[in-house]
Amino acid sequence: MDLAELLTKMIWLPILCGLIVCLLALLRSKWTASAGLFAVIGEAVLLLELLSSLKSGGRWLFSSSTPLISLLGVTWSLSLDGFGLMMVILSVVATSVAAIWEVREESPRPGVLAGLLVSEGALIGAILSTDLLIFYLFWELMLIPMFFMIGLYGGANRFRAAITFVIYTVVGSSFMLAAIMTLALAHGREFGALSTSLFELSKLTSLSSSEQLLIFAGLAVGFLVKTPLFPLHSWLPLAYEEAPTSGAIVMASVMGKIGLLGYSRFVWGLVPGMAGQYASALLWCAAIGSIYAALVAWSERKIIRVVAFSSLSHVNICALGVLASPTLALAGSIFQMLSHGLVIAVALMLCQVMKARFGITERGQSAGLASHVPWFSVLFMLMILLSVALPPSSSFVGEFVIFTGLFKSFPWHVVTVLLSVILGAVYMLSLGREVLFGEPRSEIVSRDLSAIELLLMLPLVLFAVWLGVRPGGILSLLGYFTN
Amino acid sequence: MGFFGSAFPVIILIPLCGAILSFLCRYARKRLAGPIATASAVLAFFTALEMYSAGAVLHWRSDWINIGKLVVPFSFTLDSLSTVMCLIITGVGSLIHIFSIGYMEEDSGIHRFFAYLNLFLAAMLVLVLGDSLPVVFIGWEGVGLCSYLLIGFWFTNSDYAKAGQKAFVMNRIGDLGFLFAIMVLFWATGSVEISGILSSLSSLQTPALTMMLAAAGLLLAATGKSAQIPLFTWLPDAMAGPTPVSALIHAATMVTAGIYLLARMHPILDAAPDIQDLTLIIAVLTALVAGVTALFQFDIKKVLAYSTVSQLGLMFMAVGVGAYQAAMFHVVTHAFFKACLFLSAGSVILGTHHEQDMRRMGGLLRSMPFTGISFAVAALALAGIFPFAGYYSKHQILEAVHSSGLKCCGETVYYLGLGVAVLTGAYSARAFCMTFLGKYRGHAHAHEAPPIMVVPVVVLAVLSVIGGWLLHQTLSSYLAPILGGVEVEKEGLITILAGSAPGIIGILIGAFLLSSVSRPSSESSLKTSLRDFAFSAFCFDRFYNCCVVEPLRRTSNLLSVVFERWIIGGAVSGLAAVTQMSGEFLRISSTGSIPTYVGGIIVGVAVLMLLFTGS
Repeated sequence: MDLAELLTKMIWLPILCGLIVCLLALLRSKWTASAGLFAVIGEAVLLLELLSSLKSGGRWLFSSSTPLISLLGVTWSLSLDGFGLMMVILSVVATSVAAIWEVREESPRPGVLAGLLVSEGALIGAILSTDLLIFYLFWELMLIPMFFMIGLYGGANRFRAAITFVIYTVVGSSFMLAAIMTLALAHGREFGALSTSLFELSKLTSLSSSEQLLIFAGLAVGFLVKTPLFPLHSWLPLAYEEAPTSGAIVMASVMGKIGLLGYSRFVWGLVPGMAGQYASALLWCAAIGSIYAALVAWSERKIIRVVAFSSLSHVNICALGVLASPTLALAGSIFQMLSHGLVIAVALMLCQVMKARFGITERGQSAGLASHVPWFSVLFMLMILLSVALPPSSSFVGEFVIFTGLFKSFPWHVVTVLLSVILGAVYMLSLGREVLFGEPRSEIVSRDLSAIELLLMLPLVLFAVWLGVRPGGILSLLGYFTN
Repeated sequence: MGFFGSAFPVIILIPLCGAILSFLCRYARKRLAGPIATASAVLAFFTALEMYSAGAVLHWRSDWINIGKLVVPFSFTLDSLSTVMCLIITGVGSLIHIFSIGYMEEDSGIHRFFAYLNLFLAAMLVLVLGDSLPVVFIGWEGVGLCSYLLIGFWFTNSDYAKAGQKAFVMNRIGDLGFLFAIMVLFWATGSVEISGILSSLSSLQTPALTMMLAAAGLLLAATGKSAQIPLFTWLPDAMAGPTPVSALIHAATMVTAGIYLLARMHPILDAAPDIQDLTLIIAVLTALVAGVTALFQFDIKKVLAYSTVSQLGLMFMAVGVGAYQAAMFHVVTHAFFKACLFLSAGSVILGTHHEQDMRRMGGLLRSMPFTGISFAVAALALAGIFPFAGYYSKHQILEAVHSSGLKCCGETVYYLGLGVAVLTGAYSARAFCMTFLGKYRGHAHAHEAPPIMVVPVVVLAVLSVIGGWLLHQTLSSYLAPILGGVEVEKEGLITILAGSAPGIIGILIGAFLLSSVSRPSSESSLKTSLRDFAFSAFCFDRFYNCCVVEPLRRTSNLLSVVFERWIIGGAVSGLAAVTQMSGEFLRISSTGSIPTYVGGIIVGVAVLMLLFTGS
């Protein structure tokens, strides 16, 4: 199969299936779960086909472009680089896990399933598009299913959470749209035709410095709100808390990282001067953010909020390499994003098991789960160890490459971030101690993880460990960025 | 070179497989875990012997992280230094495994225990065999993990779990120093392999700064793992773990990893005189503080724990004056006698039905003769009395300090070192007398341990007697290629007497103190508060709690409750409320036609653009 065709299919298959699931749900059909699983399996097959037909080369493993709206210079252009490939893999893995997690429930909610599938298509579309307008459309499309998943199926505060999430990201992306239009107009001015293609726009030479600043600010705000970079993060804990677990998995594992992908691809690709100029300031945001989030996580009472702030802390560490410059640290960041995506998915699933089955949502009282549920405890402990970046896990490799890569140009930033590594151990181990250790509480008599839950989580954990032991294959795909 | 020598990382794989098999015993018979794990430890010991007799320097490399300039191979190297460490780890490790079969017999988590113990051996071997620093770091963190898991082994007790967490976090602080040193050395030399780093040290651009930063990082790492000031407070708490764990991890092997690391990277330390001086100061302070504290403890394991900290301080003193082989020699002898002391203490604890307070012991020599005599022998070795093992190594260290030109604080350091030796004698004598002499003050029916526990203790006791004499010349020449040689002076009667004198004085002081303690006398409040101060290790813990932990905790609370919850949470709720209200208001304007919406968006964006370009 032609690669362009294959990638196009990867974008539309889940979106179509998502719509079909919606339709079936409206018809009150009992086939919704099957349709959802069909999409999951189909997408996995497509991913395998993609992996088998890739050839490594320069930066772009693949690139294609066909004109779409010639008047506006919009093209349907799909490209894949190492970063994109990682994110595609992560999207497929995370959405599949989330979808199966949803189907596993006694009464799966078709709306959530549909939402997951549509957001999967939108994610992959955004990852692959190198035309800014198309990218923007997919970027906005990601928002819609997430809004409905939180707003319709969330917890008690779902309305507030959904609105906050939407306001933050919509404000961010309107800045982004402004930047894109400025770019397109500048292209028209310089070359006589509008264009929104990344490769066309990167040829621009006539941007004034104020235009560059506008473009930089617009794009950066749009991307970094989604990531979220400290201090643009206040939508995040609420969204984690209220979203249904499967939605939260997709949001935490992949969605935020698309912001970083966009930053690395578009900001560094179009206005590298500005990105370089503001790198140090933004790096301070990320460095302080990682410490700030770790400190907050230490005192949070609700377990899900601990996980949310731990994720915020780690994502800010991921952001370091992206914000710094396209070098060694970027490769580390990409690796770390993959690793964090796997670990946070497991953490969210464990949180839900704790809430739904053991009735534990708050910290503070020793639960002594290790005496009750051995498999759960083993997985929880492994999740903690992955989260504190114990070598040779994938998170260690990721962090090590990021820190080492940054150390020469930004030693003080690195030393600051290292402090968050201590705090990471503090809050994670405290959480583990309170959940797992202590006198067993007699009122918690519950069954351990089911086979399907183990089959969902254990492979993710083992994959993360394996990635840490043998990171060579993935790192070789990212080698381009270090040149 | 035999089968084991040709693919020598096999020595790491043996205990790793042992760990997995032991854990799987959960599904067969849990009691099988002990023999399986012990067999793998013994097998690893024979592999180490094979490697020793092969006597060659071996390298083994494979790819790990390889991206751009950063090349981190999975590489191991075997030279005389790592051979010595391997022999200690697997040898003492095997004896402790055998002891544990008896000690842990009744425990329902025995499979977990042996799995962690074997995992520890594997991690420790990675630490000493690793050639690229990140691989050493794998072992470094791996032993930390096992220590965490084993300190909190009886996890239903929250305090034990807390002690494990404290150990992990304090070590984490040290680990950052390790990472920092790796990064400094990578950017200075372009390599993360020890061999590569050490060979390119001479061609550095800014040698003084690089060496100082790297040495400082390594020193921080070593103070964490080897429990020195400022990071030593986790080790006494770590006694929450089962006693064999204290013997293996918190006395014989893991805590010496810091000394190993500094010895391994010694050219860097040699080139950073400031950091060497700092090492010396830290070492002297730690040895004194811990020695005094040990004198005031009543928990038999706490005495041994503080004694370990103090002895590690002595080894650091040797490192501080550049006498690395003396430090390694003390690592070896200390492994023998301190493991022996801990295991005997374990037998005592088990024999008196889980009593750890020495005030409720006494007179146990009659009911536990083997254990008692072994303890006495090891205590004499610890005190540094000729001809026991500790005499030789301690003497070497003090001689090295004496003849080092005393760059730091003049003669003071030497005399303080002698003071540490006196303290050692004092607390050893006190512990022995309180436990084994006098009248039994407890209520349990004390009994001797079963043979499976007695035999390892006796073997270690024999090693504590002859170990120093056997090794005092061979070890330094064996390690000379790596650490540089020193002259070992001939033993005359005068030196022997002079070398043993501090220990003997200490023992007398200890006995005297004990007799004065047994007489309850009216004490001034100053005396009591001084004693409390010494009992609580000079209040380091309290100091850290109120100066570091509490402020951080407060900040954390402030950020999470006040900042995140009230301010940001309030603002967000306000925003949501306003949106909702304006939504009600704007419902009038929602026409439902898509062109209106699109138009709205375009107008909005245009306004934004105007705002931007206008500014």
